[in-house]
Amino acid sequence: MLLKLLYIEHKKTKRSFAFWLTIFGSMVIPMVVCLVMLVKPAPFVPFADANPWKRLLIMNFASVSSFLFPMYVIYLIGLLGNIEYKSSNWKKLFVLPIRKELLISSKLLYVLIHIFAAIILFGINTLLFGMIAGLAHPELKLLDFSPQFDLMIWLVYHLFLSVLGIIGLQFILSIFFENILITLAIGLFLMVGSLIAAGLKWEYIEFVPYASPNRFAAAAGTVKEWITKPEWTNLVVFGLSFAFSLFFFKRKTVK
Amino acid sequence: MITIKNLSFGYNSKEEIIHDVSLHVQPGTIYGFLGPNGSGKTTIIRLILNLLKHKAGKIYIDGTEVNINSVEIFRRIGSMIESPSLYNHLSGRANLEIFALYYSIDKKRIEEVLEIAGLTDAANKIVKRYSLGMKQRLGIAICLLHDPDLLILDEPLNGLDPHGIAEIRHLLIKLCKEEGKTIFVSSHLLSEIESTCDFIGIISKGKLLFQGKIDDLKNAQAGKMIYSIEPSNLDLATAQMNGLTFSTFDNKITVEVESKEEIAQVIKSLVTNGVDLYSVQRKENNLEDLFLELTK
Repeated sequence: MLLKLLYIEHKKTKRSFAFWLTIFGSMVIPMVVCLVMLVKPAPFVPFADANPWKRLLIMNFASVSSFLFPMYVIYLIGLLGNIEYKSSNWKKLFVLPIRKELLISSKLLYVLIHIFAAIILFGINTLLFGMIAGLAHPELKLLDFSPQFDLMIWLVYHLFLSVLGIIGLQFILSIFFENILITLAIGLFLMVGSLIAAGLKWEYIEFVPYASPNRFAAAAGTVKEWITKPEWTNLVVFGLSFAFSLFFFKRKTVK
Repeated sequence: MITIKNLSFGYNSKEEIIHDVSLHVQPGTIYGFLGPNGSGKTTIIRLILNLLKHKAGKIYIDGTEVNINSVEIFRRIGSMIESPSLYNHLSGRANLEIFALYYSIDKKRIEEVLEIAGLTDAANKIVKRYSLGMKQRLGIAICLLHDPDLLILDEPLNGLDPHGIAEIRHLLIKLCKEEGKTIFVSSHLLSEIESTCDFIGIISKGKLLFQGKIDDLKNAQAGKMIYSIEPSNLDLATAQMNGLTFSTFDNKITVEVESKEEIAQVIKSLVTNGVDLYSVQRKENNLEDLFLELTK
């Protein structure tokens, strides 16, 4: 049943703006970095026998994770949640012979899968555009080394964990507010506030989910633990958000 | 099929907008739920469908009480509230496919409901390019997808042109008479659905004012005669209408009397008081007037 509901969510998203945002959004930074390497390859020429893929992967992941990627997550969840409001479909979904808990769980799970797929796509695009740059400029040595898939998977995993708290909180906002602008405005406000707090080195910053991607950016490629302290916070926030979503959704009425 | 007992509801504890409504919809019939805009029709439909939680009273669908845990009962209901719920960025067929998946229905049924709704040719068109009538028909097609016993349609004729209204009316009659569906349909215009319904319920300001057959409504008003009088002096004429129910419009008086003798008395009184009469005309009992009279 859950698989079927996930497929339905995928069908709803097909051809929507959210779908194209993920496809093209995951290309932007790898493409820009590729263009820079094509135009000015010198700063990217690796020292001695260093693997250039490590530097490229870390650079790309770090450059999107502090602001662009979390904003994509906020926008995407707003769009996905808004699909039902925009089509006035909550009143139709609530009269289906399907338990509300299952409906909301499938929606949240679809958001998780979509975002995870977006990060993987970003990683793949980093490798593909890196190869294009390597083809044009052999001195970059990108074709002399095999791409570091293990590092890519490690970065994908930690970037995903770093936005888990934001996913949970934004998901609640997206089902609570009909107006997508409110969801986006709150998300943006919390993002900017968290970045300022991080800049000021606030002592409790590791408990702020919206600052977590920024900490990932700062430590990308150096993290050794499976789950860092801010990621634990994200897991707890996500769990609580999920529980609240179930509670709220069960009692949601359609006026 | 639907039984409502002493239903009351308000969005907050201080204000009640539905007052002690009881109604009954028999299986295999079309029940027209009528009332002016804002009378509480959509609220009652939302309460029936459990989209709002009622404060007092009971709602039963085919003997099963509707409450927060109702899930299975919805397998037997198809509903469309106000505007149809559609994913505008997808085609008509894709919209149907989504709901076919929700109800675990064979894709073959999609073609059948497209045919019933007359949308076969437009099935692959994006919904945002549909006309209002096509959207309404697609909404009804979605309702029919899982072959429900009960259809609850809120203002399905809203915004349709006369051709579209006739099409939907014809479809409702066909579904009821040929497929045995029970249909609960709301409207703010009696004339729109009077020829379609077996029973009607009239609601105004959250209170059910009448429930029964249309003929019963006519009979309830029988015995009363309505005349239209065109006098030479409206003010002088209305001054002679003591104790009578009347209204004025466009220099004419519409007056309600119990018998022919009473209208003769009215005419005599007007003439003796110096009012010339240009015309006196008997009006037939008009259902729309009765409806307006009841709900004003």
